[in-house]
Amino acid sequence: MVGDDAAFSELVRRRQGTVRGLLRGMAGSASIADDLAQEAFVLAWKKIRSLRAPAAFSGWLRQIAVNVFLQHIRRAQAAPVSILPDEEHVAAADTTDVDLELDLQRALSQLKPAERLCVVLSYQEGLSHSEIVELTGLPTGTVKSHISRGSARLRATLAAETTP
Amino acid sequence: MTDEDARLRRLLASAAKAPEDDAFLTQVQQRIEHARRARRITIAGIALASVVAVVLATPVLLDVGRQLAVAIGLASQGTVAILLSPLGVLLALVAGVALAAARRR
Repeated sequence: MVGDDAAFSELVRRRQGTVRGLLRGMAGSASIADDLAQEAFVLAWKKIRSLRAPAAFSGWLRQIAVNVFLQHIRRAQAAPVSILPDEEHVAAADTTDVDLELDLQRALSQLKPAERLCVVLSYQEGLSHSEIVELTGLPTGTVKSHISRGSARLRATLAAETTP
Repeated sequence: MTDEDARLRRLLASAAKAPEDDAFLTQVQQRIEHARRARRITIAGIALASVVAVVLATPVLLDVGRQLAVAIGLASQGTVAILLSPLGVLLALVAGVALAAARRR
């Protein structure tokens, strides 16, 4: 049991950056993303025995993170809250990086949650449309339109923010 | 893929990994401990409820069993009594004739 705990802690240590990064893109807020990432890791701990192929761990963990985010969207639809990027979490050393990351978070936070999910999975994770369909359970047409509309809005917002 | 797409991809990919944070790991460990405690409490609750249910149900089950045994005893006594009566003998004769007729066909 102690060995299991140590091994799982090591997994969290190694994967936390990826899972939190993925959820930051999807949630549009670092604090919400970290909360969801913790939820995803606890779920992974509960279900770890159902994982048959250890090599599939990354995809399995991503699926859990996406499911946690989809549940969060459903909860948020029941009780809507505004999502704004929290600046204290964007603590990179370089000011230009901070500005760029804030711009990106702000632009992402203006997309609808489902659009954000599809854009992040496509552009950030580099997944194909069919992989996104499989991961999210959304119809192919919806995924395509979310990516097309979301990326166009993201580009427009970023262009407006970077133009002096 | 257009240049714009490639730029967007690079931008999003650069933000794909959040910096490592020990506090995050501690919070996950705390949540896991909380979940483990909740699971132990649930298991203990189910075990306790099962024991209580068995203790409460045993007298009822014993009583039902006893009543069934009595009912079966009474029914078998009744059947024997009917078979030994003139009506029973008559019924047995009728059944025997019907059986013999059926076999002949």
